[in-house]
Amino acid sequence: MSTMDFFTAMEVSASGLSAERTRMNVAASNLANAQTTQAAGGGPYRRRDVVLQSADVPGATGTPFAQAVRGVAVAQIAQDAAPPRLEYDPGHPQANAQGYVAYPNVNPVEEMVDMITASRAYEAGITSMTTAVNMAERALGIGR
Amino acid sequence: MAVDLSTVDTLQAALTYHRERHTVLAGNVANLDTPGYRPIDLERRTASDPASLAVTNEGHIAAPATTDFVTSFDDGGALQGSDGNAVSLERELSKIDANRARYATATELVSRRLAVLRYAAGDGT
Amino acid sequence: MSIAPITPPAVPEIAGVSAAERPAAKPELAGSFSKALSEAHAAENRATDAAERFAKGDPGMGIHEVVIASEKANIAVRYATTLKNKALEAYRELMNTQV
Repeated sequence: MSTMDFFTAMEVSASGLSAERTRMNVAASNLANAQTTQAAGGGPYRRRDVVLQSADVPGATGTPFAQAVRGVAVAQIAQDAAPPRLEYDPGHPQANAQGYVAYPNVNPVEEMVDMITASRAYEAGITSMTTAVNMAERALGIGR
Repeated sequence: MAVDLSTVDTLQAALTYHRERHTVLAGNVANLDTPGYRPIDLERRTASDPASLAVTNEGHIAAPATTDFVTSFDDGGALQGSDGNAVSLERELSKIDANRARYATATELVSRRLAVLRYAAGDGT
Repeated sequence: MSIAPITPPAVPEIAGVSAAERPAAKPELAGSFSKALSEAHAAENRATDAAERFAKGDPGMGIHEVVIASEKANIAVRYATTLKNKALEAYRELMNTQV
């Protein structure tokens, strides 16, 4: 018999929307701080990365096909371990003894690509959520 | 019962299958950017198929005898991205839409069948 | 709810027609009605149960399941009512044919 109603499908889609929004926010933050040589805590801003992982969805656990229901979650927002970008600029107030300034390890092009893919995935999540709502409405109309 | 509801039951089973398949496909879309994720799909097998209760992937619990559904791995030959993700968005969205159309058709068929049965039950009134 | 089955009234002997040739329609109708009634009762119970489970948020009870259960119950009750009306009509007709 049935194992999950549309609400489960909507939870799945919602988890995707939430994850992609986090990716967009982090990419935006990376972009905004691409030139920040002095972040809080000292040193240049360090690029952040969103690590996604497929996850269980509340309400589906315990049902016969729970393992077929894959939502997504942000496993962590990690700091990119790549070293800062060094630019030779001895006149800069943050230049070190050798005359290099440490800039964030952010590549604006990569961040833009991440924002675009996150945005595309977000829209796809909206489509899939809307489809679930449409199907539920059709079900409600049975016999009318 | 003199009023034959078997068609309604068959259609109801189809509705359940398409709804659950939507949930699985929605999961593929949600995991569009998850490293290492491979898309899955829900297959329908008839109860008379002896393979219908086979385990289809590691760790998967065999399908309960009350359902005809079996999950399957299906990456559709999609190229894997550098992070191992094999989801093709276009493919998933296209499946979702086809699945939605089938669900809508089934609801319509159920409604029409019920209307006929209602008429028959009321003896033409 | 329980309704005693309708027992057909005794059919008087009609000259020239033997008992074996008399149509046995009424006992069949009574049997059908009784069966339809118990099925309507069962369908109503299933529909009520489905609605309750849905209201409680049971993940196994979806929208189309509960709607279809309700529609089936409606049809079952409608059918039983139709048979009841036919049986009553047949009974009244018979009662009006006193010689």
